[in-house]
Amino acid sequence: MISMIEFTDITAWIHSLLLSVLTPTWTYIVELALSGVTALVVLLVCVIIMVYMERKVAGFMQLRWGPNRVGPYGIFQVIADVIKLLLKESFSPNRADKVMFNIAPALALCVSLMALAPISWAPGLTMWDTNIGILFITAISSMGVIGILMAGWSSNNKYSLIGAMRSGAQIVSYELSAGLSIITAVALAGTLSTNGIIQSQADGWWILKGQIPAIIAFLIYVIASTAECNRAPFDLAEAESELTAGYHTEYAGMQFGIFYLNEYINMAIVSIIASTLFLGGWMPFHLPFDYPVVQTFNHIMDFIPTWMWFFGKMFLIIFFMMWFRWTFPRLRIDQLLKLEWKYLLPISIVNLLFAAVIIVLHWHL
Amino acid sequence: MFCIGIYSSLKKTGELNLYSSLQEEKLNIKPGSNGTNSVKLGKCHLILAQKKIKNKQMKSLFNYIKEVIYAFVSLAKGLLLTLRYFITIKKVNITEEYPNNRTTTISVKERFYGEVVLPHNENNEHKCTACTLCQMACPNNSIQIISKQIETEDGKKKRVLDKWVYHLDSCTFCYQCIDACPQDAIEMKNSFELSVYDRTKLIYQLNRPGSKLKEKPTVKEQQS
Ligand code: SF4
Ligand code: SF4
Repeated sequence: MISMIEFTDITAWIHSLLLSVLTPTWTYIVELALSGVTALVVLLVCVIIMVYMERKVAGFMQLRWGPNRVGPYGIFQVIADVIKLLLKESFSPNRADKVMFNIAPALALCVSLMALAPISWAPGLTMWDTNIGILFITAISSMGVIGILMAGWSSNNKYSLIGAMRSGAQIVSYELSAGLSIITAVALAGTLSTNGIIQSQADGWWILKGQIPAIIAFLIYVIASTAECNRAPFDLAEAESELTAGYHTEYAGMQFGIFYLNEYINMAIVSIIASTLFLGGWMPFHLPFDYPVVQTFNHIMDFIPTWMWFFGKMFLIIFFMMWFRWTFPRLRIDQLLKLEWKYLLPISIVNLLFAAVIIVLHWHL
Repeated sequence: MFCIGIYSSLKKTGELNLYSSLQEEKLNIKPGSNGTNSVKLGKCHLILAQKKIKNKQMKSLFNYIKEVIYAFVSLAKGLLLTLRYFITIKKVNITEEYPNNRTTTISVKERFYGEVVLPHNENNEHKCTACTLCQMACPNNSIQIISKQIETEDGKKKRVLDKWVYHLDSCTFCYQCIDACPQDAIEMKNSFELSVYDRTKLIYQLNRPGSKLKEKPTVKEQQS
């Protein structure tokens, strides 16, 4: 049966194949490159789907059809856009800091790609299976603002600078409540490793087992990570009606394209983390009870392959973020900071305490 | 952080000021003839005020929680609306896929102002009496009423419409001519495919060849 072939079998097969033709050192290097390229390709395919999905979702929510001219149902629209961006000239403004200006998009992309390393894609399929995976991700995700600040600063444009500064304030603030809700999940799972967290959800996802604190933490994480990705209703760094395009006003061609790609890669990573922490990553949907009916149900759920669960959950959370974007109006900068410091942060601290009580008393399932 | 939030919200609403003002009041209590009583009264007030403040603190915490819940409820309302649009897009879509459906499903609202027309009935009769009120009302000079003298059967001379010239190229579809017409002779049609390659083609004569004024029924006819 095809579904019986596990990803670990494929990786083991590739490993033995490479060992038969190369020395162990070269095998290691080739495997590193191969895993990086594979992750990148998978992510790029996801981004292409996401860009198309965003346009369709936006269209449908605004009572329109969305793209429908290039190819059937407009599915080649993204490809047409990429070709357009590639053919455009990338230039830097006259008095900009040229080096910083050209490095910024690449740096922003590198930082967001680094967060891919500890992600657990499928059982046994992790690029860097470390015991501090989640800690690494939180550390990396707050660095994403560097690229944006560099872009805004080096553009020599006041709108870019305002956008970048706003983005800085926003990411620094929302990092806190995102971190606290991650801690809630980590406390429930009792481990920082992504694989460990997913394994701890084998008898039910944390959003079910962790009761109310897990649900609140999930909601806060989704809100805070939307803000961290600079997506509407928190897209103050772009704020096209006030700042033309914020920090990437001066970018053209593929440099702009990289910022655009970066936004979607960030979204994908954030939703993968949310699904890892609260929805069990690649873990099928299991109920934490011991009745025979439930066990049959759990067994049936195992037949759906893990990659389907993984991408299904990822795209579910991405859909949530798109849904927010096309429903809510943009916040003002003071409202944005008020929301974080007066609402989300106090709530997540209380929620963490609440979760701690539940964990200590073993009230979670 | 939570406490600071409550404290600042209290301070903002000025509820903490109440406490200090009450304390000042206590200092001002003068021992009169029934001095002891008034001091007791003052203490009583103070205890009551402290209770009140505790209540107010509870209330502001309650309001804070209420605000958070209300925010989520109102956000959920918006989300449900867009989700409904997303799911029932086939029904609620308002996009006209114009060039594809121009002969099939296209629908233009009745109230759309497309062009001015002079309707004729089945006997090739219109209602225009060539009074030129529409011509005067038009802000763009888009209307030219050319009239002619004719002699009726009973020998009377009468001015009737010869040409109702409409310059579509300078019309702004403002509806003023239609408002001005005392006979309700002209109307706005919702046609919109009006472009041509040569602007001289945009000058129309609205009355059809051989058309004439629709006679109003005389009083006798109306009665019968
Ligand atoms: S609609 Fe306005 S502009 Fe056009 S003919 Fe009538 S009065 Fe003139
Ligand atoms: S269309 Fe109406 S306003 Fe214009 S000339 Fe005829 S009757 Fe008079």
